[in-house]
Formats: sequence, structure tokens, C-alpha cells
Amino acid sequence: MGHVAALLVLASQALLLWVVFEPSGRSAIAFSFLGHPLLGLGVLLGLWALTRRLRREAQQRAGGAAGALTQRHSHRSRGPRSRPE
Amino acid sequence: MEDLGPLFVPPSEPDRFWILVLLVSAPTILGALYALVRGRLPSALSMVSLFLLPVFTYLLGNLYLLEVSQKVSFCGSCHETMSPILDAIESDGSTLAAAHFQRGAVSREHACYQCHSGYGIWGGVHAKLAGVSHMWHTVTGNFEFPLQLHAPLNIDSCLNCHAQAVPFRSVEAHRDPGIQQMLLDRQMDCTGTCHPSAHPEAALHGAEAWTEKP
Repeated sequence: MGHVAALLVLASQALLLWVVFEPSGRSAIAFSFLGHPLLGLGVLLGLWALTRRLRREAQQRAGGAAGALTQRHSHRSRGPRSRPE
Repeated sequence: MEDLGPLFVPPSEPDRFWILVLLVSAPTILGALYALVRGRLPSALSMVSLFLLPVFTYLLGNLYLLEVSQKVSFCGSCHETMSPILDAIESDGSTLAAAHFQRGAVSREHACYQCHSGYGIWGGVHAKLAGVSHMWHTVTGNFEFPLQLHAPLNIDSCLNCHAQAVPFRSVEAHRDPGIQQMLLDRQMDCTGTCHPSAHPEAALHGAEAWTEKP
């Protein structure tokens, strides 16, 4: 998803540079009616990908912490280690 | 236009706004390229280069477009519809627009905008909205020749320059209270009845008709 977002943002920037370096009716139309939707879509996809990644990382962290806690808990429930005789 | 020496070149400020756009756009492009190749960016960096910077570059781009779209060359770049009108104001001196343009009564760089935008900040806003609708009509091909104004020309654009001018004030017809009221009520236009039309009729029929005119 990050790849697509980056590609859309790149395309929107290309249209922006076109209108800045060669302002004309054609470049203005492309910038207005193509560039803005591309940018909007790219930004939304980028934000979505970022949110998903952050959530996944948070889950992994939470999962790791919970796993460590369970491990510690199971160690304790086994009771005191018997000494080898 | 014939080159008569540097005295005949209007002074102009070099346009450096593109440097600012490029300064913001370059890191955006680099960040997007990095994200494209590597698949991901650090969270903070992707927030900046895939959200904040692109949005900011488009803000700058829109400001630049608002400014640059006031230029005559920008209006004339829509070949099929506008190039005959541009050609006419430079070559045919009989119409009102050409007379203003060739005498330097309007800015050579912003002539279209100066007359068609109306007066004040809302005039500019309406002109920009009209510009977006023109672009949309061009994309969809939803327009017909001859080109027509969708509303009477706002005479405030004329009065902005002429109202206090001595030659304008001294004309008998302009002093007539009835005519003044009709003009201000938009029941009457400056062109058509008293003054020649702003653009030649043939120029409103598109580039093809303009090149084929006798």
C-alpha cells in the first residue's frame, strides 16, 4: 500500500512541477482535475498504510508484553523449584 | 512583436516563486522515491513526506496558479477558444479590447483579467470560479461557438479606471442621469449601443473560423 501511495504522490508532484515550469491551460487542467485527486488518494492511502502499520506494531508490542507476562506467570505457578537431591 | 530596443520592453520582476515550490517539492519527491523503493519509511518521516509536504506543495502550487492564471499568455494558451481573441487584440484595432490593449490602457500582461475579473476582492473570486468552470468546459468539450459571456460584463471594471477620468466625465451621454441609472442597473452595457463590441465577432467562433476569415 505504501508503494501505491508513494507512486500517487510522485505523479501528483510531476503535475505540480509541470504547471509551475510551464503554466498553460493544459497543465493547469491536468494539475487541477488530475493532480488533486491523485494527491488526495495518495495521501489517504499513505495515512491508511501508516495507521495500519502503527496498529500492527502496537499489537506486536502488546502481544510480546502479554507473552512475556504469561511466561513469567506460568513459571511462578509451577511453584518453587525443587532442589536436586 | 518587433524589437525596437530595451526602452520598449516593460519592466518586470523576475518570477522566483518556482524556487520555493521546488524547495518544498524536492524533499517530497525524495521521500516518495525512498518509500517507493524501500516500501516503507520511518513513521514520522512518512507522515512528513507522504502527507504534510505534498499537501503544502499543492497549497503553494494553487497560489502560484492563481497568480499566473491572470496573465494574457495563460488565457491565450487555450488555443481553440482563446487564441483568436488574443490575436485580435494585438492586430485588429477597431474593437474596444484592442483599443485598450494597444494604447496601453490596460496592463499588457494582465489585460484579460483586468477587464473580466470585476472589481475588488469578490471580482477576483468570481473570476477564479469562472476560470475553473472554463477549464471544466474545456475538458468536457461542453461549450459552443460563438463564445458568450454568461452574464453582462461588470461595468465596475470599466469605472474603476474611467469614473474619475476627465475625458470620460466630459462626455455628454455619460452625464445623462437616465443613462447613468440604466448602466448602474445593468439594463445597459457600455458596448453594443454606444461603444464597439469588445472583441470581433469572428474571433468568438474559434481558431478554425478565425484563420479562415476573409
